Amino acid sequence: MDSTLPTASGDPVDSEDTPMVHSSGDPHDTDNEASASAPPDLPDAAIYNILIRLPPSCVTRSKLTCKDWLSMISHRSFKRGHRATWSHLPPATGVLLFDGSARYPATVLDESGSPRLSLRRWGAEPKDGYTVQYCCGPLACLRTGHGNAQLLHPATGRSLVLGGGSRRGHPSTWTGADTLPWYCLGRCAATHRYKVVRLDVRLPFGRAPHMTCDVLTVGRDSWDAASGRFHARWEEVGPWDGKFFPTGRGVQVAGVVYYLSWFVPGVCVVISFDLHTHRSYPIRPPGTDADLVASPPMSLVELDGRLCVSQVGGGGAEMRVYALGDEAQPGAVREWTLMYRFELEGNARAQDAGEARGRLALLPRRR
Amino acid sequence: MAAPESGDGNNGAARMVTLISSDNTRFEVEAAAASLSQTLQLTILDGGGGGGDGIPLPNVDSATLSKVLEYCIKHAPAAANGGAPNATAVDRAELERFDNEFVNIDQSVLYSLIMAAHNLEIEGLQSLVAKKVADMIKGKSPMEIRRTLGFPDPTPEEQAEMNAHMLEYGWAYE
Repeated sequence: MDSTLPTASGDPVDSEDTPMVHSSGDPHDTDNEASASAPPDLPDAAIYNILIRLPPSCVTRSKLTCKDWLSMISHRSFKRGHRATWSHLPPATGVLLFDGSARYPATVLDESGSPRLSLRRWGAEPKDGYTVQYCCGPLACLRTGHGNAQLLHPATGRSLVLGGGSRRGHPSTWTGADTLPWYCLGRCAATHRYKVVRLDVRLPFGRAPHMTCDVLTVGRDSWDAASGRFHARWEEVGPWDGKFFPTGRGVQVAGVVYYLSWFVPGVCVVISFDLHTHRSYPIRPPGTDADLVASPPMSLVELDGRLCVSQVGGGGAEMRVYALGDEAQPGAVREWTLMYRFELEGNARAQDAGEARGRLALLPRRR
Repeated sequence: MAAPESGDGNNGAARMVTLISSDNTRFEVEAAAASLSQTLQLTILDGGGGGGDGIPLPNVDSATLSKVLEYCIKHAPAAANGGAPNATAVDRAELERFDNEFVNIDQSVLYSLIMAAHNLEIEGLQSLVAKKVADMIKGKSPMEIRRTLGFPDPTPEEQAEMNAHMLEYGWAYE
């Protein structure tokens, strides 16, 4: 049934899980698509004149029209000229992506603040929806109702299905299992490739938890030049250490994905997973006592390019945010620095601090 | 220099020049209108184009040239006033209306105009046609832009290249 649904034209459509993307109607759309006159061989200066007049949201999008446009728009002198032309506008508008059951879980706003593109679900069933897993740079990683990972470029509406939905191992008895697998999107610090980490957890009845971790690299070689199609190659990373039971989708900071994981019930540690080496290490979170017998409720979040942990302490009366320091030398213990301390009213939970209940916002980058 | 539009002209009648299109049609226009073209301006200042000789324009056909001159004649008075400090709002509105009407044309004519405006270096016309094309492709996806502008469909290689670019570099507007 899904294959009959409309998709944005020209998208690299790879499977039935493609989100429907709507370009809101353009008032200038009266001009026909039909008048395919001879391909104009316009001089660069004329094309420059045209592209410089496209508003910021469109010029990014039109990069993919052809190679010539791509190289022109990517050029530094064009960027300078374009920024000068459009300097009267506020900086590029953010993109908001929402989780959950909203009819339009993702919306892109343009310069005028009006929604330009909406990603929407097409059925009433939760399995037809999308969950935002993680945003990195201009891309968002979504999880479809069928458990597949999908990359979305919200500014253009282009999307790419990465698969990964088929699950291995024993069936789970865990009621939270239908939110699995978890995906996290990051950019490898060494190769600058985007990578998606897939984490799946099975809790077979009466057995030890079974966790699997796979990584998919998205790069030039993932595309078959002859057919122009994408080949998703998930690479299995050695077994996840069964001592650590991840609690969520992870947070990516500078090429490392961090997972808050249960060590034993009541005690959390942070597991770092390096996107380049594919190795993982435990990091003791702040405020945990030396014997690892208790840790306060906490959540992970990225702030200003650093990994932060927010913790609720004092019986729910205050929240502390700690930032993880750099590794002074290889293998050295990484220190946490207390960044903020807030007084809380009532019994707020740490959960509300960072990922405001599964809601993420992509904010515009400053120059 | 009270009357820059007449150049070194002396008596009441405005100086005329002759332009010859690629298909050998002759157009006689006021020098002030033709001087909107940076390319022609120098020739005209040198005294060319007058009398019987005329200025040949091998890159512009007669249909396009007449369209271009329609623009130039309309815009010459405002341009001669040097940004029109004494132009009224009515004049400006009238020019704007004219411009909107002017580019409401077939796409092939539009392309010829882009080329002519480029070759003749008529700044106002260059912006006008560029804005028109920008409006045509605004808000469209790359594929729709290709179709609107009549580009051929991308080859699989080109498509793969573009997709790879999108994912390898992202493309935030920085």
